[in-house]
Amino acid sequence: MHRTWVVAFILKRLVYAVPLVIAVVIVNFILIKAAPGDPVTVLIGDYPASQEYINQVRAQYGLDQPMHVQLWRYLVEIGRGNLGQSLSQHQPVATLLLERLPQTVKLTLTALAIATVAGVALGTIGARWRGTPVDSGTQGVTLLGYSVPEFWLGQLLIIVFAVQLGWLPLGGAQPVRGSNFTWLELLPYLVLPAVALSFRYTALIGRMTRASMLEVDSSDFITAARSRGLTDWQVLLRHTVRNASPPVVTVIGYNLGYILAGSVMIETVFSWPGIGRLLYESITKRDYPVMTGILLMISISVVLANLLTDIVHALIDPRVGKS
Amino acid sequence: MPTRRTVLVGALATMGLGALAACGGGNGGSGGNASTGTAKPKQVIIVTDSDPDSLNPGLTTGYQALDVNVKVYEGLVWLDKEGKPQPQLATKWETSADNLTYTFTLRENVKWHDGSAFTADDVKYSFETLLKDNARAQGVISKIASITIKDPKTIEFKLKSPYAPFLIQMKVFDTPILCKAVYEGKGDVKSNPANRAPVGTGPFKFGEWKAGQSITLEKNTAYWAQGQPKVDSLLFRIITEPQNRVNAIVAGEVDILPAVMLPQANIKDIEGKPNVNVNKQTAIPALYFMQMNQANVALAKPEIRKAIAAAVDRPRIVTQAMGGLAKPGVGAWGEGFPWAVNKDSSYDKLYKLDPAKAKTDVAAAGGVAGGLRLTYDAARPQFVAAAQIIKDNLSQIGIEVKLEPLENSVFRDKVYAKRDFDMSLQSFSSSGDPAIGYHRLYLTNTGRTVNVNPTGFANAEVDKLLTDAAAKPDQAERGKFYQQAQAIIDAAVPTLILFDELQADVNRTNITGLYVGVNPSDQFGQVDVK
Repeated sequence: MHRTWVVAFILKRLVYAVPLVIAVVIVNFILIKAAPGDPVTVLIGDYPASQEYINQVRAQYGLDQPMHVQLWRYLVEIGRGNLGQSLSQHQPVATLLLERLPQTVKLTLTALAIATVAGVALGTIGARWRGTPVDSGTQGVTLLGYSVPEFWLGQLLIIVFAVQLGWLPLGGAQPVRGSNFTWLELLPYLVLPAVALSFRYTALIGRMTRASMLEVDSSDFITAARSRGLTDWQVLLRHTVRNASPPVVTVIGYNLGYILAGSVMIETVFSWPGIGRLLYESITKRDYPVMTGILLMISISVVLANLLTDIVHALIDPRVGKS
Repeated sequence: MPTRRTVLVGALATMGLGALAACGGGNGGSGGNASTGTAKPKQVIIVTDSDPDSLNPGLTTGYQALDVNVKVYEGLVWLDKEGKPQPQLATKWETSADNLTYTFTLRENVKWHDGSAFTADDVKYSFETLLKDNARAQGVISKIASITIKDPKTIEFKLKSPYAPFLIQMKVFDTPILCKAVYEGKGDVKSNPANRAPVGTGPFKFGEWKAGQSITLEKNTAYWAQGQPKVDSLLFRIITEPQNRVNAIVAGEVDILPAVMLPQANIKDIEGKPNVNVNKQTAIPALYFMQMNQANVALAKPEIRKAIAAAVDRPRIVTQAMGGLAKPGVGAWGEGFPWAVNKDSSYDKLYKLDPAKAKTDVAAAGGVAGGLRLTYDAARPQFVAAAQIIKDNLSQIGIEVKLEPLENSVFRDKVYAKRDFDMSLQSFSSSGDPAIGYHRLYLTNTGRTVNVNPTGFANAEVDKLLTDAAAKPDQAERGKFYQQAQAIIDAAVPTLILFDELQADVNRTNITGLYVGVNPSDQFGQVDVK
C-alpha cells in the first residue's frame, strides 16, 4: 500500500532536484570565475612569463573565451556526462574524483556513525538526568563540540595522541610500506580524523536528541505510560526514544553537507587522500574544472541525502507520509 | 511492510555497518611486502607535501614533480659541490671560441626504462618539442638558435648570443631529457599516459602512484653507473601539514625531509633530536625580498625607500621568521655568489638600522600619507612572520602598514598583471648562476612580464651591465659587471633584500651517501640505508 506512494514521492523529489543541481552548477561556476586569481599564473610558478606566453596558455585551455561561452560549453559537457579535464593535473576530473571518493566515503560514514551513537547517547543521558550535574556536563561537552573549530581540534588530537603518546599515526590513510592491508591495520589511521570530523556533528545530534526527548517527555502519553506503572527506563526506551527520533534523523540527514564541508579541513590536516583535500588543492591552484566537479558532486550527494532523510522520516513518522 | 522500529534500527545499522565495511576496503597496491624474502628490501622514504600536477617535466614547474623527476630523468650534466658541470648523459663537451656553439658527446649504452636506447634524437626532441612551452626551461631554450644532430651520439647547440650559464642549465632541474618514442606521434602530450608513469634514464624507474598518498620509484637494475642505485626503492610520502612533516621525521616515520618541504621556523623542533641529522647549506642561493612599487607617490621618492631600508630589522626577521635559517640581506645579489658581491656597497654601510634617523628622513621627504599596503602569499609562513615584523618596524618611523595576505594565484595577479600593490614580499632562487634567477629582480620590465621586476625601476645602465654579465664566459670579468650593477641598484634600493635563505635538508642518521652539493636531490643513486 505504501509502495506506490514511496515511488511517486521519490520520483517527484528527483525531478525537483534537477533544476536545483543545474542552478548550483551555474552559481558555483560564476562565483569561482568571479573570484580573483588565475590558473595560468599557478601553472607558471616562479618563472618569468611574458604576456604573449600567458595568452597562449590561456587559449590552450579555453580560458580566453567570454564567461558565458565557457559556462555554456561546461553545461553541454556536463549534459554529456563529461566533467572536463583538470587544468593542473591534465587528467579527466571524473577519474580524479573516483580515485578519491572511496576514502571520503569511508571517513565521513565513520564520522557519521560515531556522531550518531555518541550524540544520541549524550542527548539521552542529558534528558534522563535533566537538571543534574550530569546534564550540565553533557551540555558543556556538546556546547564545546559545537564551538571548537575542527582543524584546530585535529591538530590537538595529533599532538596528544600521535606525537606525545605515540598511540596512533600522524596522518595518511594506510601504512607507508606494504600493501593489501587488513581492516585492523587500517583502523588506527581512521580513528583521529573520524573523531575530529565527528565532534561538531556529535554535539549537534546530542543537543537535538536532548531537546526532542524533553519535549516528548512532557507529552500526555508519557504521563499516561508512567501512570500505568512503567519504570523510567521502560518509558525512555519504549516511548520517548521512538517518538523523539524523527527530528534527530532529520538533523543527521540534513547536515551531511556540513560533514562534507568539514572533511575539507580534516583531510588536509590529516593528509587524508580524499575529495576534501582535492578540493582544497584545486582551490589553491584555481583548477576550475576540478572545483566545479567536486561542488557538483557534493550538491548531488546533499540532495540525495535529503531525499533519503525525507523517506526515512516519512516511514518512521506516518503523519508525514499522509500529509 | 517494515514497521517503524525496523526502519529506524535498520537506518542506524546501515550507517554503522557502512562505515565498518568501508574500513575493510583495503588497498590492492602492488608494492613489495617487506616481510617476505631473505634480504629485506631497502626503501628510503622522502617527504613531499602534495601530489605533483604531472610527472612530465614539460608540463609543470611544481617542486613536487621536480623532486621525483630528478631521480627518474637525467640531464646532459650535473653540478658538483663547486657548481661545476660534470658528465651525466653527456660524457664530454666542447665550446667554440666565440662561445656560441656547444658540442656534446653523449654517453654510450644508456637505456630508457622501457629498454630502448638513448640517442641524440631524444635530446633534440626534448628541447625542441617537449620542454619548449615550460616556463622553467624557456629561459635557456630561448637562447638557442639551432640544434643539430651530428651523429647518434653527438649533438650541437648553436646559441643566438653568448650565454654564460648555458652549461649550468643543461642539468636535470632545468632541462631533463625525455624519451622521444614515448611522446612522438602519440596524440596530445597532455593526455599521454607517461605523464603519470614517466620513462627516464635515471637510477630509479617509476613504480606506483597512489593518489593523495604516495609515489614509489623502483631500482633501475639496468642503470649505466656501476653499482648504483644502492637501495631498492624510494617512496615519496605526502604529508600536507608542515608541522606533521616535522613530527614524522622526528618520530622516524620518514627518512628524508628535503629543504623545500621544511617549515624553517620549526627547525628548533628537529635540531638535537636523536637519530636526526640537519645539513645546512646555501647551495641553491635564494633571496627573499620586498619590492617597492614606484607607482606609489611616496615610494617613488628614493628618500622614502632608503628610510624604509634603514628601518626594516633584517636580523630580527632572520631570527623570528626563519628560525635562524638565513643570513640577513647585504645587497642586491645577497651573498650566494661571492664573486658577484660588491662589499663596498653593503646595506650595513648604506642602510645601518637606525629608526630614529629614518623617521626624520621620512618626515623630511613629506611623509607617507595614508600608509602603505604590504602584499604577500598567505600560504608562506616566512612571509606571514616577516610581514608582522616589517609592519612593526615601519610603524616606528611613522609609516602605517596595512597587511594584505593573499592566495598565491591572486598575489601574482595583483603584483605582476595589475601592479596593484605598494610593497610586496617574494622569493626567487637562482640555482648555479645569478643570471638564471636574479637578473629579473632589476631588469626593466615595461611589458608586465610575470615574475620580472614589477617595481617600475628602470635603469639602462643596469640592464646593459646584466646583459654583459650573462654573455661573458670569464667569472672574474662577470663579477665586475655584477659589482657595478650592485652599486647602482643599492643606491636606489628599488627592492630591499631581506635575507639569503639557508637550506636545511633533514635526514635520519641511518641514511648514508646523501650528496651535499648544489642540490642533493638528483644524486640518489649513491644513497644507502645502514
